Amino acid sequence: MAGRERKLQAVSADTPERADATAEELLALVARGDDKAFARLYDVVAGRVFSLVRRVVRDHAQSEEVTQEVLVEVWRTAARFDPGRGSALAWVMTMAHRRAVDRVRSAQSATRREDLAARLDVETPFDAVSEQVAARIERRQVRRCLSTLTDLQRESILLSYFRGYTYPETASVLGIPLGTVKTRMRDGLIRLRDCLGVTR
Amino acid sequence: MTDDTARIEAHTLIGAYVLDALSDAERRLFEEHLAGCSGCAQETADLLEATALLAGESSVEPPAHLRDQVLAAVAHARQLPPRTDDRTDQPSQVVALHSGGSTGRSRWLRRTATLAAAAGIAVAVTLGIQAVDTNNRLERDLRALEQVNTRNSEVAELLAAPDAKLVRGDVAGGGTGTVVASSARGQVVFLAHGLAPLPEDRTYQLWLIGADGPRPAGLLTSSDGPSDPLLASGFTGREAVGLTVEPQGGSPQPTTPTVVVLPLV
Repeated sequence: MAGRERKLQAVSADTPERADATAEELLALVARGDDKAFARLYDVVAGRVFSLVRRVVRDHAQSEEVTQEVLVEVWRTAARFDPGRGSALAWVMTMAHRRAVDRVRSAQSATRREDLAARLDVETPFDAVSEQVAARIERRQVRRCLSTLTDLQRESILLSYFRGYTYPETASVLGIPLGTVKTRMRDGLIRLRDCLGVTR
Repeated sequence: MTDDTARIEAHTLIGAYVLDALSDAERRLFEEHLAGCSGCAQETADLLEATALLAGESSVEPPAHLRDQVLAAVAHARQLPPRTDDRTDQPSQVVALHSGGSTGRSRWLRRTATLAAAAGIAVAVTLGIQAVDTNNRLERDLRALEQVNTRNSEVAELLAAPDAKLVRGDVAGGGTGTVVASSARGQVVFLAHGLAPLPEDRTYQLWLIGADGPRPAGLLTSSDGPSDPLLASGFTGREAVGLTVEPQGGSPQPTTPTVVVLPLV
């Protein structure tokens, strides 16, 4: 998948017509105002963005709104993407996750604690949630790597990432101290990074 | 505790940061930490790459009409220029102000001055929030907040409030003041470091300064070293936080100019 090419590609103006242009190459063209390149970039990333946003936000109409915001933001800020700092896909997905989480939190801010308590009451038992989420992660490698984490590492990461929980909320759901959840998140992500071979 | 230890503690937030599991205030604190930590940027980037893979492939197709909407929307959206000044690319800019840049800053100064004037108190000092050596102070703040987090659930909840704002400023006579405020929770927490020691019969007093004047918000327990965090309620989102030096036991109204004002509007 072109979008996952992590190596810094030589970006030049004569690449746009190639069908296999990477997300980085497309983004460089988008930065110059190329709307055709943007349409192609949309086709590469929109599905992933929408899928992630749906998981976090849940509501279909709101997920569409957030997805649109994210993609318009990609267009607006394309010139600020720095390929030296990471892949185009990570840049887009980071933006998508941040926006999705912001949407969930602003919706909750008024009645946050009550809401959280209510959700916890009717919540599927945690293991089942964790299983479901893991099952929906198609990539075998990611699934395999997730399975190398300890239960707490995996649960901490999946709860916060796919539910938009803050780490204190995650700690409360898992019944573990704040300090523990922070280190599990960090150590779990490091293990995931090493397992996925993300190094530069 | 050494600075190295503090750095390591600040650094443990990296996982929660990458997962967007921090409150806004903590996110800003961590971004400040990032700005002054060589090597952190690389580590953060790598963890973000891994996290992006976690999101996986697309499992739900976006509706077809969304594509048309987005393409129509970008036809009218102006693109931002690339960043050419390295400093504007530092995440610490996020910390400094809600609006950022010098315009934001002057607007912010004006607002504060207006607020203080409305409250009838003199603003003695500079509101120098974004200092050059933010990093060391950040480490201290973060350490203090972390410690508080574990022993005071009320403060911990405030820090985690989704609308929590963080503002820091230099105090006249030395030291810094940091406030985290949430109008949703109606509370502020104030932390001070390195304040000038006061005579026996004097104390630092905190004020919530609204349009109808300053309201006492508590006394700081100690003036040297990090003070215990001071939690005050009654914050509506329309006040600034100020600090004055008062006679021991505090005053009903400020009797001296503020040594720092932290605008939260």
